[in-house]
Amino acid sequence: MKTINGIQLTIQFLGLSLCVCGCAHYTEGTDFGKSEISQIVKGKTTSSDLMNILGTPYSKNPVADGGEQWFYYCSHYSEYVPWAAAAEPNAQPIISNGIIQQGQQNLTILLNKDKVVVDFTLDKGPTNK
Amino acid sequence: MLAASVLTVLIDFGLNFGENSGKHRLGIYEAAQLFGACRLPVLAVEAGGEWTDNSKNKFLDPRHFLFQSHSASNKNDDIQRPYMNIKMTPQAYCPHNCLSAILIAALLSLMSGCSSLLQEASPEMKQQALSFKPPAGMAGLYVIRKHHLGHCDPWDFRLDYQDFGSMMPSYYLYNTILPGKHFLRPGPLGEYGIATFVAEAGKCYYFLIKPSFSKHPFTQLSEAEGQQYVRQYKMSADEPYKAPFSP
Repeated sequence: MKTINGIQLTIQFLGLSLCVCGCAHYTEGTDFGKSEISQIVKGKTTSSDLMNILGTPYSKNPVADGGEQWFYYCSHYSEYVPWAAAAEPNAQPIISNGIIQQGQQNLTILLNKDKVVVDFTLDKGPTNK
Repeated sequence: MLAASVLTVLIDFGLNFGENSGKHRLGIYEAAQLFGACRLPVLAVEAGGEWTDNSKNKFLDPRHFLFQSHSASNKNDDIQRPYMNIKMTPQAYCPHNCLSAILIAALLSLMSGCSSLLQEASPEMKQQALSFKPPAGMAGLYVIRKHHLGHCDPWDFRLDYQDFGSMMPSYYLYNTILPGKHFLRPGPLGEYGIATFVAEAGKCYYFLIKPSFSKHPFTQLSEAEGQQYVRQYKMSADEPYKAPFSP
């Protein structure tokens, strides 16, 4: 009968741990996607609706006609894995404390003085992909 | 149960540690016997400079030191203790006492739950939290960290774009939040999971967190369960969060 000794078990455990570590992805800020964006309707969605769809914005800035500009962002990160970085030699990851910023989505929403959405723009910030 | 497990750890550690230095093994026995409730068999004693397993039928009594404090006039001389034929050099007293102190400190730290590492909130803040009534137009958020043996480090939490606070096991964080959608994340960068919820004005929300391998370590509690934890646990003073754009 085949037996597994302690060394084999340790190697398998380490391999599994490294795989789990390499798969760690997470976000910072407002986690929004297509479903949230599709709920924003120009001329209809109000600031109260936005608070329920997206939550509190990162910033609010007054605009000329008495309205406001709300800004949201979502940054995507992953843990730095040397062999994953080696597999993509052309990528220039932003590394800080073992964390790679994979990209960022910015959402800017313009509301009029009645707190109704007039316009919004979705763009991608710095990314290494 | 706790004392038994600690005792086992001490003994195991002593046996491993004593492979190269039998003198340290005596220190372990001392520490173990400080907390032990039963007689411990002596597995090996030093005889003629080597460790041998010739200690059958020899025991240490609970809370009994093999070696008490001593004054060694000649540091080069070995001190021969007739009791159980164990001898120990004066130089060994320092490491074995240090080791005992470290082990005792570790045990006390485990038993106290490391509660002294972070400050508790002021009575005024606690009173506000224990009222379970957020101010008008706001909601209340309680993040409760369950006690877990062996976890004594403070954990950081983020809410949306801000730091929500930091706390030890058996503590909770409380703050008022704006109604609407929120993202609660543990870890300095929010890297250990996320809880998403939509808060309503006038309501309180309770999230329990405990060590987990999953990316969803939060459990949302009912009002009754949450209030029970809040009444039992301490409130952390480390709460930098301030609801943004609040009226």
